[in-house]
Amino acid sequence: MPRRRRSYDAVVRAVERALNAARVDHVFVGGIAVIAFGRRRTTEDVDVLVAFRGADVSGLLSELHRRGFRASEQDLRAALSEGEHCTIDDTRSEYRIDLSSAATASAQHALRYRVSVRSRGVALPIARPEHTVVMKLKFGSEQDIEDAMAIYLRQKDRMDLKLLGGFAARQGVLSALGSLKRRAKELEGAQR
Amino acid sequence: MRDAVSVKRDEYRLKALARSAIRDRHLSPEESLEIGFELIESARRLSDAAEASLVRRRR
Repeated sequence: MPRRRRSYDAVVRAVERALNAARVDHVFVGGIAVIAFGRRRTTEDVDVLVAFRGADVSGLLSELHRRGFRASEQDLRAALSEGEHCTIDDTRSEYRIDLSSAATASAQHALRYRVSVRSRGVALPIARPEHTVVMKLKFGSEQDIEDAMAIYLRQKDRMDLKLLGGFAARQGVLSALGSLKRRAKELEGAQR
Repeated sequence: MRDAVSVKRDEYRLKALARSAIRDRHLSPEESLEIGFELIESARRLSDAAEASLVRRRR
């Protein structure tokens, strides 16, 4: 009998367990953060920023392999030295893990301001809405802007506006944030 | 230059997105994740069913 494919949430939990077992600091970003704080949408990737060093690579590989993920040492080392993201395949589903080294200032921001969200018995560290809004504005595709709009509209009364503005300024998207706020106000007004 | 139809379509989609975001303000991130995970699995099942149907038709 063929083995049942694991679900997206099971993949996320398996990644969380692998990273905890390898004792590397990390934070989930991208689609998971959008789903938790913004809007319902599908995704096929699990985006995660990991603070790891060369000495962590073999432990990380071993914990990922144990849980059915196909990761290459070369890719992990390239993620570390060249700042590229490393795509890890899941042998038990069609989902992919996009792992990046948390070496940049923006990744450090995600780690510093992450929040813990429990899902089916596992606490998942997820980037705060303020972080995701700014990064989405920076990436700038149509889907990114819609993600940013959904998070901002849903979370604006709970967000730390100083944190949001400061991070936007450092990432060079202060003007895009201003446009997003104005558009959000119009859209909110149109709902009344 | 974008045509009037696509501008209208984008506007409609943004309004629907805003409606949904405002409606979901009371949801906790835990509840949102749960709903999102269910949506992802539903989409996968739908895609699998479509794939299976295509294979049957080719036979």
